[in-house]
Amino acid sequence: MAKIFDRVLGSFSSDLAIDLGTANTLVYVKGKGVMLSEPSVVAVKKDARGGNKVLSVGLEAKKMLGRTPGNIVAIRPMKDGVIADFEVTEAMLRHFITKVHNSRKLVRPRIMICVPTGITQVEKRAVKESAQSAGAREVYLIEEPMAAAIGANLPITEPTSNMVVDIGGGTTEIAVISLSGIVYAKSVRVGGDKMDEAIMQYVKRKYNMLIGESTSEEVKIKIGSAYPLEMDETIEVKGRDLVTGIPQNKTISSEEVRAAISEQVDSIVQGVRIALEQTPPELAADIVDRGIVLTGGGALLKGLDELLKQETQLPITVVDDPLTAVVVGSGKALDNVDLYKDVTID
Amino acid sequence: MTLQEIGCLLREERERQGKSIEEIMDATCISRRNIAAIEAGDEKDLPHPVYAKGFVRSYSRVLGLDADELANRLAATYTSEEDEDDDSFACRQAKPLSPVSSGARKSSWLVIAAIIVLLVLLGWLVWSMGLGTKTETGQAVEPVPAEAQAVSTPSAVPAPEPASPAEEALAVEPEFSVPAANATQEPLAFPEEQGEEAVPSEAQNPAAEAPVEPATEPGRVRVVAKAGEQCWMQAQLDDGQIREAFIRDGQSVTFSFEEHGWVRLGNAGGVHVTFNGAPVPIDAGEGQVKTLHFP
Repeated sequence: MAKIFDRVLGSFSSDLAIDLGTANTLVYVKGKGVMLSEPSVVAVKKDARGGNKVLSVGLEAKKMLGRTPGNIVAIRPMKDGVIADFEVTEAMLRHFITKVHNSRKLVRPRIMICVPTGITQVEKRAVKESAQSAGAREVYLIEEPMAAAIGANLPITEPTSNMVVDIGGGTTEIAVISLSGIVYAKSVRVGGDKMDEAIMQYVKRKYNMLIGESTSEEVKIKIGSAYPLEMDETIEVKGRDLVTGIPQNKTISSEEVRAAISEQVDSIVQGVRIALEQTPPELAADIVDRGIVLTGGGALLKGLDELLKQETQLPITVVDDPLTAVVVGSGKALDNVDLYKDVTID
Repeated sequence: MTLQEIGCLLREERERQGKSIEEIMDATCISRRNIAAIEAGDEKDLPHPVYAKGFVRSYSRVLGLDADELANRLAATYTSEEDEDDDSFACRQAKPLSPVSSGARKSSWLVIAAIIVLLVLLGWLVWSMGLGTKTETGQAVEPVPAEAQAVSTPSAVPAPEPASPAEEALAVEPEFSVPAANATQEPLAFPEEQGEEAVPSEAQNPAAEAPVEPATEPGRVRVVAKAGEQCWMQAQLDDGQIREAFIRDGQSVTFSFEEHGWVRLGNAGGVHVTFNGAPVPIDAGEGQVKTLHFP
């Protein structure tokens, strides 16, 4: 009886696909497209009795990052692609779900959530349970590179190989996909966040200046590059001088940023090389012909495709909308749950 | 823009810049076969459109053309047919796998649910309305004779009538032939007309079809059955109680009341009725039901 009831109500619910990323969370509503894209940040306020109250979520909370008084903490509940703070993640999910699924409390949606490849059972359970307690009727998990490949419209059901590199905030997923299955997958826990940290460290070492996370992300987005550009760009960075303790301005060039993030970029390149080494020869032959597809926000890093091309001697394709490829792919998988049933994981 | 056109454009641009295919291969890492396929516009030799689009983009970037523009133009023509293929593949696969939640099934569920909801709403509406009218006018409607309803305006109409729209007034009272004047004239004309035609505007203020003189003194109604006839009757007198009687073959029954009452005759043609000694003419055939109101 409960099943029938759920089914009847289910026909009124709009199912959701969520890319629960370290940096950004995107929500795709079935039949409507990507409805929400906000930073995975939650601002929590501690009250007098020690209880926690969620103050704001998403963009608003991100503005508070590093600018909060003692009783407010802006938390990024996801670390390295997995849930680091269970309760806060749940609060965030609930906020996003109610935001896109507004005023339909009775009807609970089916949710497809992307997870990095090779996460542990404990981590999977954490994702599932937090989604369930945030109001999901049913939770499906899908591996990020698979979702990215579907989102990029790659012919994953064909018996040819597709190599996808999804560079997210916390992890970089490298996978070779053929016949709707993952032949080889590797998750490198390096992504945009690590690059931001590297830029912070670099500025601290070189200029004796402390800058915040948001500032270093801005530097990375504006002038960051992986391969020498035709035009060297500069940007003014504001921070606090470590010696004098006085806020100040410094100008940083893209060459400096490139040097700062070279370690992270190298580990991505290394991951791709290892994946290529591990690929069976027939599939490797396909990859030579078709090359590598880049998705994820990291694909927007200038010159990354050029660098990978130089390093691997393979053609590199950056998908049209790298930021939403994963969530669009999971949305498609949700739309055709039966077709893509085998790409979801338990 | 089709692949052929873009291929031509790229080849011409390459030749104009004096570059060989090898140089393009070095710069883009695209295999010779694919470059040749792009330039020839040969869709069969190219991998999936997503890749082809990427190749065109990097090729045109090397030549210094507007890479995104070209790639998007290509996507507009090239991707669609392949996607159709993908869709048909999806359908083929989905059908045997999923009889349960295919689109049609889902929509039928929606329709069924919607119908159920509608029915429930409708039922509730009817129930609540039926209950409402019963409690409201239960006493008022019942005494109105079935025939009176057909002949003159029934009790349901009078309330809106003074302000009723022209056409309604026309249908009910054909005498008022000037519809424009109706709105202003009617409130004045209404009471007069009511008296003239003796329309029962309210059950509380009943009027008999038969021209019965208003009587202020207590009245006595005597009903005598004709020979060979029988009649069932119902009467409501001052006290509001409804009585029933059955007479046959010359039997008679007498009702008396103080102010007003009504008598419903089951076989109006088969009885003689007198009111305070004066006969009441009944123009009704045998077996007709008639209700007589007495003032």
